[in-house]
Amino acid sequence: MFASLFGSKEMRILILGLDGAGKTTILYRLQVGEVVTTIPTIGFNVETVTYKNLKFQVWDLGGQTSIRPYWRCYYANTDAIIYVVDSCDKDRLGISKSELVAMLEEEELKKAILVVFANKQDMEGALSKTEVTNALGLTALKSRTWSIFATSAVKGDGLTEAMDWLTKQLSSGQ
Amino acid sequence: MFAKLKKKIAEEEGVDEGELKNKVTPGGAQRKSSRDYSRRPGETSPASLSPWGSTSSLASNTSATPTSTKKELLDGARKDASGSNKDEQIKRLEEKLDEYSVLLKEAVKSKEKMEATLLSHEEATNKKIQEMNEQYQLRRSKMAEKLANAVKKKEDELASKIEEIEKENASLQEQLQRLELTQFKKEEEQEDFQGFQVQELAKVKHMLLNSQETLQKCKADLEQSKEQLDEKSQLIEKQKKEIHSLKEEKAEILERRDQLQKSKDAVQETLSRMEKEVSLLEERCQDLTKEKQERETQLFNSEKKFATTQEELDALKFSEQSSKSQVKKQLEEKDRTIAHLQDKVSVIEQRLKDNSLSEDDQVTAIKAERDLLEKKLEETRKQLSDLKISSSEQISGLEKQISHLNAKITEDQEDTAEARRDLEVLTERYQKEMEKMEARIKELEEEEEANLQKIKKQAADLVLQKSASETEMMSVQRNFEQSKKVVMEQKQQLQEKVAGLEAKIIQLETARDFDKSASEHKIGRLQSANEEYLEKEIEHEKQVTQLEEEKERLQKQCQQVEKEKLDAQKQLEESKANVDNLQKKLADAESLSQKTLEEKRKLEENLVEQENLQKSQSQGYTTMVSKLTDKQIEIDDLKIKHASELAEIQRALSEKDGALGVLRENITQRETLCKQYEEQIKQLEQRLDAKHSELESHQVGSEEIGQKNQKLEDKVKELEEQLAERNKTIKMQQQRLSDLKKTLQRELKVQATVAGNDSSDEISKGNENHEKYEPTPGPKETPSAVQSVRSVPMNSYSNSPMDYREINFQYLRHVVFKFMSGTDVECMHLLKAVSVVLEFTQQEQKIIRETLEWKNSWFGQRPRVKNFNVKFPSGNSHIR
Repeated sequence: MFASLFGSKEMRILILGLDGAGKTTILYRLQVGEVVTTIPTIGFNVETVTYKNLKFQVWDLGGQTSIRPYWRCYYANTDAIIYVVDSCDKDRLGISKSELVAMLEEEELKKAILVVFANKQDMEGALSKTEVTNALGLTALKSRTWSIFATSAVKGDGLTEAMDWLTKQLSSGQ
Repeated sequence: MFAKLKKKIAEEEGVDEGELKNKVTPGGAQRKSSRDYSRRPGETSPASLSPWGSTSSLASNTSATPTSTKKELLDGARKDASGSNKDEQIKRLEEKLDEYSVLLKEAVKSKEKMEATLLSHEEATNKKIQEMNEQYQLRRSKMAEKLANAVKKKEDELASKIEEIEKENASLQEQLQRLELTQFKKEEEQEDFQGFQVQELAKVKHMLLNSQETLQKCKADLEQSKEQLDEKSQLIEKQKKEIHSLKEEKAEILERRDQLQKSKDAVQETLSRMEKEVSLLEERCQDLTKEKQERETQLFNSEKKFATTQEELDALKFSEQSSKSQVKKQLEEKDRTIAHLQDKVSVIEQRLKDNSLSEDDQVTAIKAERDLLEKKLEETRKQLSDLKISSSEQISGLEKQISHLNAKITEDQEDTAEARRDLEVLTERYQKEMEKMEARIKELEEEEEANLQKIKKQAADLVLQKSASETEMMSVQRNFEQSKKVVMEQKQQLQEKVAGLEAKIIQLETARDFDKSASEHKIGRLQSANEEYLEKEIEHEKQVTQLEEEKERLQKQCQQVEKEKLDAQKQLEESKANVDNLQKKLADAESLSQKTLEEKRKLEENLVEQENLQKSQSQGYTTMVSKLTDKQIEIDDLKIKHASELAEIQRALSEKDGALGVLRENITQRETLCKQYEEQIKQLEQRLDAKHSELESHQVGSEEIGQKNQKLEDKVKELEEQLAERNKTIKMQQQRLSDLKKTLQRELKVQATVAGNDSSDEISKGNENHEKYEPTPGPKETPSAVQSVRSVPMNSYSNSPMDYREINFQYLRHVVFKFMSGTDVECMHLLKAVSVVLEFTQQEQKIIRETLEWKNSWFGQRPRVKNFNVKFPSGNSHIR
């Protein structure tokens, strides 16, 4: 109500990705700044995150296969998408890519900014940022503001850089 | 209801039976050709009734079954014959065919037999059937007639009834319209009422708030006044305590005052004693001073005598000295004259010697003499001038002495008669001597003049002698002789004179010694007298000093006594000051105490008593003071001072009394203030009452409003009840929907399990591929599409034991929970998800969105749920 009155609307951000990529951990890392123990999200988590005087309404949608189809219910009025990829899960990178491609084809997300988190960089055998970029075929993306960041939600690495980039993009886009 | 249902069921069953009959009846003969052909006539001619009975049909059924199986077998054999080993099989089948043809022939024979029997039976049965048919037709006609009649009757009745019903329907429709109108009106009214209600509620709230505010203000005022009252009561208590303490202090101070007064009395007694002693001492002092004065007069007299005698002595000394100086002068003059005479004698001797010489020598000698004489003349002239000067000085000094002596004489004439006499004698003597001396001086002067004349004559003679030296030698000798003689004579005379003068001097010296001795004797006497006087004086002085010491001692004692007195006075003053302070305190306490009414009166009585006591005490005190003052007046100036101090103190007391009065005035002012406060309190109470009454009136108004409210609330309740009923119906329908969904899911599950048995292996193999090929649902998702999504089995990767359906249910549960508990914005976002999960139609979504917006907005109309209710069943049926 007041946000609409004062003209500063909350930014709407979706955190998407396959199950077990670390979306909920990233959400609460961003909101509370702490690592919380999570259970597989059946449904979603929604939190208001304040970063550098910008308010984000961050939706963390469950990534299990059965509820992935419901992602599209939340696409409307989305300002940015944080797509979280498990950098260690090389087997399912293809599924992740197909999900990403299908998502990016949606009409409601044409103007949404894409931020890819190559997560779990703290684990051994994690793919690098460029490897993940190539695996997801992000270089082929056109007419889309996007960026990729090597992150570790558990250690908190790369999150601030990613959020800085995102806030910059969002504030410049306004 | 049940009867109708049963009838319906019976009819349906009948129809089914008929159909079955139709289906089955032609089967017996016709199935030999083909199955499809056998069914078709049954379906195409469902109305044609077979005349055969049920039993025969059953029989035909039983008979038909083996043939059909055989046919199937034959078909299977044929199919098999068309298989791989066709030639062998054909041979075998031909053999078998031969066998079957033999069997068939046998069977045909038996069949013919059977057909013959059947024909006979059929004829019999046909006859029977015809009879039965005829009977039936007769009956049917009868029944039809009856039925027609009954139907007509019923139709008439029904028509009338229909008409009635139509009329009723019309009336009901009118009523419905009216009711709808009234409903619309009511709804409008309801809305109006809602508006009014909201407004009135707001007003009532406002009034309530105002009244509450006023109440709170009143309460605050009351609390303030209460606090003030409490503070004042506390002050009063404090003042009571203070008064008690002050009373105690006052009692103590009164005791102390009594003690002090006692001590003061004692001190005053001692004072009086001391004063008596002082008076005695002073009397003694006065006596001593008198004595001292007498002694001092005596001393003065003796001192005067001493002074006169001393003056006499001085005069005598002076006269003595003067006489001594005169004598010395005379002696000096005599010495000079002697020297002069001796010079002359030497000159004359020289002349005498010269005379014996030759004339030239004599002339030279005379010239020398003349020179000597001239020198002597000059010397004598000088001496004369000196003498003149000295004589004039002596004369002046003598004149001064005379004047001094005269003054002394005049001064001492009265006091020293004897001395004067002596002095007169002496002066006479001195005068005589002076006269003598003057006479002598004159004589000497005459002699000198004569000598000078002589010398001049001699000079002239000598000049003459010089001119007529040879002629006048004889005369010169003569003159010389004459002059010799004269010189001798003069020598003798001078010697005589010297002897006379010496005798005189001796006489004078003796007289002087006598005088001296006499005066010395006098002086000794006087000195002895003086010494006596001095001794006496010393004794007197000693006495005086003793007396003074005594006086000083007494004065010290006096001062001590005075100090003691002053101390006592100071103590008194201090006690008075204490008393005054206490009186002040008392006054303050009184001023404070007079705030309360009852206690104040008591205190005033106490005060009056105390004041009486005080007055009596003060009267006693004043009497004491007057006594004291009397005594003090009697004693000394100090007492007068004391009295004045006392008067001052009394003045101060009076001033303090005035201050007391002022304090009392203050008290009265405070009382008035108290009264004012009380009045204010009363006013506040009155205001409170007024406000209470206002509140009551407000409450009455609010009650009225409440009644209105209640009415409105009743209406609202009614409407809410209606709403609740509607909600109930909605819930019922939702429950039905959920039940239907459950059943549907169950059916789907069954289907899935059926399908899963066939294709589970395939899916498990190509799961990843399946993920890729998973159909992305289109924008308008039909239930079939959802079903297709749902029909996708559990992902093997997740390995969770949860059923897919369960996950879906959990998802739904979560989303609905979030939808119901989330904020408005979240609700709007979740609407789509919920509607997707629950498969809401566009219209339902719209309605939900509108209701959400209505809930979020402050104003606006509530969207019509009626439409929803009307359309919901259709949606329901759509899902069904």
